[in-house]
Amino acid sequence: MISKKDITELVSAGIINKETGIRINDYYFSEQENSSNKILVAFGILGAILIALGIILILAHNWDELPKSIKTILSFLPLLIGQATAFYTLIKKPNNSVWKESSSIFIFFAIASSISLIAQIYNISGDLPSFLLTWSLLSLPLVYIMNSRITSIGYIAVITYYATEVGYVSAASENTYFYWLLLAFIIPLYYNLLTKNPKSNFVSFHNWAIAISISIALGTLSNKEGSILMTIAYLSMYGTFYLFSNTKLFDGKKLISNGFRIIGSLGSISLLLALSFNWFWKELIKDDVNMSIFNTLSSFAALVLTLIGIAIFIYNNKTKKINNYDLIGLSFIPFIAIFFIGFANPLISQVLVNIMILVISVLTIKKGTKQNHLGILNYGLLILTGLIICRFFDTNISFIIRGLLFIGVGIGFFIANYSMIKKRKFDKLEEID
Amino acid sequence: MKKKYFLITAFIILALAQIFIPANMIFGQEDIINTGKEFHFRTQPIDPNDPFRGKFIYLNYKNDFFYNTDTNIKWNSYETAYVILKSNADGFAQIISAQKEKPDNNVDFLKVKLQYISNYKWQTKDKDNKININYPFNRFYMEETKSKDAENYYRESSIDTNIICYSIVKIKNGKAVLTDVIINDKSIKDIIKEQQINAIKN
Repeated sequence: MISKKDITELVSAGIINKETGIRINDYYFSEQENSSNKILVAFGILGAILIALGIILILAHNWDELPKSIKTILSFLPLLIGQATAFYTLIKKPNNSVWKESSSIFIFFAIASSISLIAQIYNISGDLPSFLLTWSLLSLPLVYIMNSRITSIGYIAVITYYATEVGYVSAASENTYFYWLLLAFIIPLYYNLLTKNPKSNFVSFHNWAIAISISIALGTLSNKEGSILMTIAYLSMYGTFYLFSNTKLFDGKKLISNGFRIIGSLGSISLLLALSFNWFWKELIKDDVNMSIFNTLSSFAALVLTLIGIAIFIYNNKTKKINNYDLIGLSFIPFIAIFFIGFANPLISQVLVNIMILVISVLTIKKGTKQNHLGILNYGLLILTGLIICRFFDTNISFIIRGLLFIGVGIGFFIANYSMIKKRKFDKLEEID
Repeated sequence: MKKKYFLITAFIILALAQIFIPANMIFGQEDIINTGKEFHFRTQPIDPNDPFRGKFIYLNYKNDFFYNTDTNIKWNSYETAYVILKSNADGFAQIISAQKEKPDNNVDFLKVKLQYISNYKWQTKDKDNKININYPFNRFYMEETKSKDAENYYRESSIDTNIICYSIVKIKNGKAVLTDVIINDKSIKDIIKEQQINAIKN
């Protein structure tokens, strides 16, 4: 391996000119510097979080012996330390991401600690949603001023907590419009990351954080009348995630960093499997289900998500050459028809959902074989197994048929994997010849 | 360079906002403590199964409800209400009425969140309905080494009916600050301090 010293020697000896030297240097060492910087950022953030939490814990001891005035001043201490560091960073090290990320995440925690320590000094019982809202609003500007991507992750976590607290936990559950607005504030940063810094780890963190956050918060839009429409909303959301993960922006990304794809795919399949039972379809034909379900927030969510999903599908078709369509990501479109058929005949809908899962599994297995990809192949087989296990619970299928199905899929697993591995070996041998 | 100055200015504004919010909390609370009217709220025996809550004692109040006698007002669970307070003959706070609109400042009132509403006759003593509320001062924070002892002491004292437990609350303009918890005329903080000193001496 060539060292930096070697390049300097070659340049000074006149064997290569300076430009070539720089180019060689960049070729060998830029990646290395990049990765060591990544480690520094990671440890900087970790260190800042640990110190912030440490200070908060010490202050939270509540020191009864200290007069209230000193306790009050102390509760501002972490915030002031963080702000001073961030201010120094902005003036002296505006391009250093280690400093920017660490000081911002420190302030992020200090904001919460100041508010809660003062609540503690004055015995304020507090209102959790309004605390979370204040915390998120006071941290959001940090994301843009300091360009802090870790604070953005923290911010997403706080607003998600806010949505669950307001929408699910609090007995007087209210609407969560504010969550969606708060989430929208993070989109410019996310878009910027996706387009300008696609290789950064923070892109993967955001993919996961945003996908998880929306998945959790969508349920808050459900209400008693429109809850059955949430199936369309959720399936459209998972489909939208999947299609979004297929856009150009994600080309060449590792699967693990693509939270939208994993959540979109697993979510669609799990939801479809749940809908392959008859309990949901029985709900549809109950007397209290009438046209009023379309006059709810749930129906609005279902409509918007379906439209977004279709829009992304059209966009993908225009910008990319797609040879074979993935039914997993598109299952939400036929499902709408299946849903409405359910009002007339629930059994047909249930059968259609089962057929759809079967088709998805077969197509996935086919795709895996075609791409010579063991992961995709086995995913397809797992979907099939899932479907069979679900049908195992339906008592009206005889034990013999169920048994035979299991044996069939079990053999399928063996044959599929064995033949693919064998094919790979054969291909390798051919290459050598 | 312009961008840098813009960012620095934006940061200074943000930093001030971050300090302003907690500082404003302090000023609000201090104002209530200094100029608010003092009320004593009787606490009631606590559920011994209630788990220990960390660094604070969880206080349950005796008079945390009112009967809705005005049939024109329909109360819903979890809505915000303004309760009018009065000190009764024993010197303890009592709710005399409740309303949906904010009262004038010449009466002592508290902004509260309603809890559940009981409509059963045996619960309401033949009145229309009993509305339970949640006082916004049910946590009393203590130093972590003392809070466990304090919790136990409070629990024992509140089960013993001869002992009078109450909390001192300052109220102003619908807002309240809990300043102390008293067990038989002594602050719980002093009681625990004495106990801990005695424990060391023995």
